[in-house]
Amino acid sequence: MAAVAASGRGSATRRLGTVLRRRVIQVVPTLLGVSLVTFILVRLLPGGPVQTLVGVRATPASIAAVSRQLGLSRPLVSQYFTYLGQLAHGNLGYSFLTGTSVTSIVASHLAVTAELIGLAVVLALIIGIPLATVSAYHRGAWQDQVIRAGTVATLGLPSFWVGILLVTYLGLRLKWFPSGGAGTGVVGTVDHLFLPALTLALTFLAVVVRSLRASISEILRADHVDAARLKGISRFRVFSRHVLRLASLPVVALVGLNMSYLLGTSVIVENVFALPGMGQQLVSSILQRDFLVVQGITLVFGLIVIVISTAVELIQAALDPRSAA
Amino acid sequence: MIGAGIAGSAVTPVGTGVSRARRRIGPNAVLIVGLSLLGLLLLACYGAPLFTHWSPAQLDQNAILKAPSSRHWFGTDQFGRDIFARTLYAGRVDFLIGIVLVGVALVVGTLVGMVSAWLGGVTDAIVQRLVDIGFAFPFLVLVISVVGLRGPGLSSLFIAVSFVAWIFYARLVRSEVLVLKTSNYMLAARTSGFSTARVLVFHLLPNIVNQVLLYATSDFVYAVLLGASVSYLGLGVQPPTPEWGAMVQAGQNFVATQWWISFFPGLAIVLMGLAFALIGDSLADKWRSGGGQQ
Repeated sequence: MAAVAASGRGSATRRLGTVLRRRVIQVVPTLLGVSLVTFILVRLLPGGPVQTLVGVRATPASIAAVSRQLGLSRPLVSQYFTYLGQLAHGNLGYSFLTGTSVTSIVASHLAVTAELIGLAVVLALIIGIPLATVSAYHRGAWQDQVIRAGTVATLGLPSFWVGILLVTYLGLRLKWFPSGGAGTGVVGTVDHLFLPALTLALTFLAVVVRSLRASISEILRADHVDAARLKGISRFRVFSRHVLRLASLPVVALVGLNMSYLLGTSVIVENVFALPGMGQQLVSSILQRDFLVVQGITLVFGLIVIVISTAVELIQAALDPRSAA
Repeated sequence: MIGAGIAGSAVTPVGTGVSRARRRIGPNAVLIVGLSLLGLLLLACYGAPLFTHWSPAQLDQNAILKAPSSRHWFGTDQFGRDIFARTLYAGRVDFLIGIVLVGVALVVGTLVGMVSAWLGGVTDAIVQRLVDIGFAFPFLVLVISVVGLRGPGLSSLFIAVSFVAWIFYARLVRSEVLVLKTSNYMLAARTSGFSTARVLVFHLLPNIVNQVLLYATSDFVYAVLLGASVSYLGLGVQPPTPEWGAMVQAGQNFVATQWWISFFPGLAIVLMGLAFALIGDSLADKWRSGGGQQ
């Protein structure tokens, strides 16, 4: 018995090892590509980065001096390798405006974005699971129709507009929630994040409901669910023990696959609610033309997506051996 | 587009399954509702002078921040401009943004996807890596970074999006072509001695075009949302040109007291989005339950 368990664990580890190795091989070129894209991004600046830095009235001599100082007069390839070397040391450059390192700017804004997305996913599931369940159990009936129509309608909701409506009615009129900024402590944080997270959750709801509805209805048709029903197990127990448990597996993948979307939308939501997260910093750095901060934050957004999709793939492989094949 | 990243949300035939439900109401009814809504919106926007005598740029010192009334249906903004007229004229800009964004992504992505899958080998490997890199960034983040660094404006938005959005179409088309490439009729076409271009354009393209157009329909919602979002952030369409996202932003400071400035342009986006979502959803249903399945 013990031996079986041990060998089972051994093969699971091997399997994860294989997935990890394969994933790393895929990820390295993508990482290089991501760094190349952010490197090129700054070179797209009209007039080049130096012009932006020293202003339009700078003399050619001062432009040349700043270029030399920043290493921008060297060939592009050599500049790129310098950039890669800095990245490898965790150096994302420095803000031209404040001199602060981009790493520390990212570090101080990452938590807010992470909390926003985390809470939004929780809210989307709290609202989405009951809707998807009702829809799946009443496939084809009016309940299903109403929920489907409702979720299709949310696909076109502009997050910024939803955010403004929520602030106006729940924040300013009813004063249920604060209308912007970040709070302190657990209660304060959740309180301040609630409306932004709800906004983000609403734009993500359609995906959650559609996907869960499909997986729940598929599971409901499975033999073992019929067997459980025939054994006389209560409806609720069948649902919680058999259906929801299996349906939760695709949810992990769903959140992972949509991380890109959630991060993108969080940029808008943070700007609506003046939440001091990465998205707000990105937009304010763009408006101030602090391009190394823009470059650094864009890179970090890319890294987050890569890390999370790798993590999701590993979790899936651990939970469901079939997906590792 | 923004949401092209939303896995499973676009009406690609993933995950939803055909519902018996839809047969009762029928995709046709949904399609008709969607098309009528779209038709009404386009009529209102392009036929704007028929519905309002106000000009979208006309300032009126005597009508600043007026609530909706019989004179100004949707009220006026802080410059006394008529919100109803601005919302209608803005629709032209937003619709154009949607068309251009989807059009460029569709054409470029389809070409790249077809060629990549057809040639295989090194070309395919390179394109695949590019697609992977594109998918590694949150789409919106990459778009606003490019727009922001190039300088705000419509042309930056178009450049930024064409830089990135083709990957969604390329991936879709590539997977379709890989399947079709080995089918018998493709073999027949290739062995008939036709030129590669002829095989691709006359034999391959007609068989993937449905899928691509279906995807483009739902993508249109996201393209409009993307244009509006970028403009909302102040990086897209610049004032005084009326645009829905920028109008919502302009009214944000007044929202506690003069709600109408932000409300109506936002509602217009919702309606446009709804029209395309309904059309996309019903076409996907029709396609899945009938003709499309070869």
